[in-house]
Amino acid sequence: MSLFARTGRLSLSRQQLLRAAAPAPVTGGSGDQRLEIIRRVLFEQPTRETPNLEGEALQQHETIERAWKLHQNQERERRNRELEKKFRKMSAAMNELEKTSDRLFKAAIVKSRHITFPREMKIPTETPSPQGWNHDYTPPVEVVPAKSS
Amino acid sequence: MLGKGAHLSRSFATSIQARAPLISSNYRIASGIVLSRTPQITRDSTPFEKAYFDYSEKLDRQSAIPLPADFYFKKGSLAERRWKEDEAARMKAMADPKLSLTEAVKETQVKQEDADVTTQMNKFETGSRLSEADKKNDIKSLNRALQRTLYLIVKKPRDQHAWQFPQGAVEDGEYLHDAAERELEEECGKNMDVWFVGRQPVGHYAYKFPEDHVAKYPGATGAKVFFMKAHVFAGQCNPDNKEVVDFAWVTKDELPNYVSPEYFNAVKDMLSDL
Repeated sequence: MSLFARTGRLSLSRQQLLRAAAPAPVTGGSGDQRLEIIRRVLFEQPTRETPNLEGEALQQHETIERAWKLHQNQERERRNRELEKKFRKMSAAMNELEKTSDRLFKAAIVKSRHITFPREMKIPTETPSPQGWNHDYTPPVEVVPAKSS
Repeated sequence: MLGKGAHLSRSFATSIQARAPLISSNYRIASGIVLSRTPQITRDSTPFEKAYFDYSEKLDRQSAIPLPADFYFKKGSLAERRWKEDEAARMKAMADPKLSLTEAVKETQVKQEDADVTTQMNKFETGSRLSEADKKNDIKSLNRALQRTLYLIVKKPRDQHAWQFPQGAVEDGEYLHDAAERELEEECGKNMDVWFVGRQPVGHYAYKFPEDHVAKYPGATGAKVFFMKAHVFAGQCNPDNKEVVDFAWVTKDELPNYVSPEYFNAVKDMLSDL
């Protein structure tokens, strides 16, 4: 890739830092050097080099960026289409329910203000749990307090 | 359960038939359950996405401020040596268009781990993205197809339209979501940690019974199924071997191999592609 061909040359910020470190402190032992290092890290602000691309390299970069944006748009459109289909199915089902049974429809449109999501509902991770899926789940047994008579 | 014991409180009301199926204009109302296991891992990057990430990484590195290594690493320490090896690998990878920075560092890190005994002892075990169930193609396992959504389908003991989502008739005093929970427990057992998303159905499907069925069970000429959405977090399906004889966890793509084309067309828009 022609963009990264000039990696032999050091970046501006790297040159700056080398210049700052260059006058080797002959005086101090390790103590002086540490102070210098800390001072440098705290107070120096090496400039971040903005690469000025020209000509073919610029065209390549811009094409890559446009392709990425196009890809993102396509992904977003795909996701929105899927959601729209799901919503339409839900609308149609509710309309059908309204026509079918008034009692069931009224029960379906009830919305509790205290709806929460369960804690077990987790988002995808990069790797799965080493134990895998718990196929041996059994529901917890409710402890009924014994009645004293 | 409270619902079943509630007839004691209804002693002053007129007698209610709790077990009669709900029929409206010759259609039996049923509630079906779309039980899904959501994706457990992030999806694989496409080759284009991977190439773009590698490109961005290298572009960032070229204009980035280098790390003040003398501040972060003690001179002559093991950590400094390892970091210098990583940096050398990264510098080499910058000139190589085929190799990404993260790939280059992975190789050196493997070498570092092999050399050092203590890191081997403290090795952190991660699960593999491709599970055993994937390799065996075990259709009943919930460890399969970790990047996709798996849906539960059950097999009824008949020839035609055997496979479908679990469903059952709504009874006369019941609501849709109650019927769905009850039917799922009856047909698929109680050994699943299930959460129903709400009271609204996510889809419906109306169909007519075949003539011999109408002759055997008069009262309704067809059924309207309203599907309720649910998630499973643990456990496995235990078919009751009366209404349901078999089960499978399939992705949306595999569903047409099991259910009839009309059924798939009716349900496909409710399901997630990924």
